[in-house]
Amino acid sequence: MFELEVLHTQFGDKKRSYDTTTEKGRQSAALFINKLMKSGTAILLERGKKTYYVKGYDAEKDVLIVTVEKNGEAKQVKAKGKKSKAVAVPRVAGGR
Amino acid sequence: MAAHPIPLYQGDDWDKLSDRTVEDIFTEEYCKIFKIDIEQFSASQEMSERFEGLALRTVRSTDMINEISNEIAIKYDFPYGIALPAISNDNSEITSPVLARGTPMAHVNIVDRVTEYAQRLRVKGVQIRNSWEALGDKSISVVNSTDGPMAIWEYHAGNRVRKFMDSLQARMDSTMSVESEEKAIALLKTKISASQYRCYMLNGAFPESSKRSPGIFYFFRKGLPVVVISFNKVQSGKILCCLCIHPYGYYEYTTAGVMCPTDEVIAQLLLMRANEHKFWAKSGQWQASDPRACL
Repeated sequence: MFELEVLHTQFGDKKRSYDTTTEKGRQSAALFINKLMKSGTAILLERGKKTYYVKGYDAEKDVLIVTVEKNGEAKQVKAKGKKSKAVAVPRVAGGR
Repeated sequence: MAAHPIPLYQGDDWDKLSDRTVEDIFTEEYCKIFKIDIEQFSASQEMSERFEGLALRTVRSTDMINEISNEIAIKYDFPYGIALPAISNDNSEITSPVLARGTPMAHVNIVDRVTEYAQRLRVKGVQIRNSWEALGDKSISVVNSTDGPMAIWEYHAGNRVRKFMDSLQARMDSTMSVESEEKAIALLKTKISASQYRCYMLNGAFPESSKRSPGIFYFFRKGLPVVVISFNKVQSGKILCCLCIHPYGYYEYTTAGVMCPTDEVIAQLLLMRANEHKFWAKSGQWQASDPRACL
């Protein structure tokens, strides 16, 4: 199961759940994640004490691709998509 | 010679086209020139038509407006809804939200480094030569006048009060609800420690240390910019700056974002935890003396 909490201007947040055990669930999760990525949304995945930027979702392997900062360099590793909870934050405006 | 962007209809050709075709041609060109997504443009058109219909009805409420914007958001698949202007607000300066580029219904977002006082004067058509914040709690702007350059100023205390009042008004006139804030608080509770949660509920703010730079603490405040304090060389702490960042957008000249305050805190917290460098880069950075720091 993959859960995504999308911050919403009217409802606080809207939860989207995808059953990644089925092909259909994985496909729709991949579709939605791709759409969010294209619109510049930051998907932030929390694992233990660390928070990662999600860079994509591999529907075939059911894994989330995240960026890890190591020695100042960013490299991509794969995190299991199952039982993952992530938050989608829309593009930000530096305010005043 | 470069191809003309609009098909070259000549003479009576335009008269032969249906109104719909002409409208489509101009819509497409308008969207191309201003780099607007056609689907978003259609959404805004539909929303404006439906609001127009609502305006003609004798019974109408803000709930109806919220319902329409929610229906449009679902129809056009805008995952985080549509931010609306602070509707009952008469102050034209804070009516429209400033939205992040590329988000649904985004307005033009102009971020420059003049003082807030100069920004407000510029909106009124005053030509600004220079502007700065002065010690002694005031903002100074040098403006052009018929008698040459002239310095005018505004005291920060008055500005702070106005900002505070405008923020209250913007939130009250926006689509935010108590339920959305409660939902956001419940989500925040799952992301922070019990002690941080207690601090947030009692004080409206909580600290979190920087993973990247030891001795630096971020103070996340409800509905206000994040304060960054260094305890490295000064035992009592030294304010490095205040970081102002809003997911989706904010109401200009206020501290109110288009999302409920705790949703903004969640976004700020997670962005900071994921990548501090990026978090700073994306934020508006204000020094402690600037009224936009809200200290």
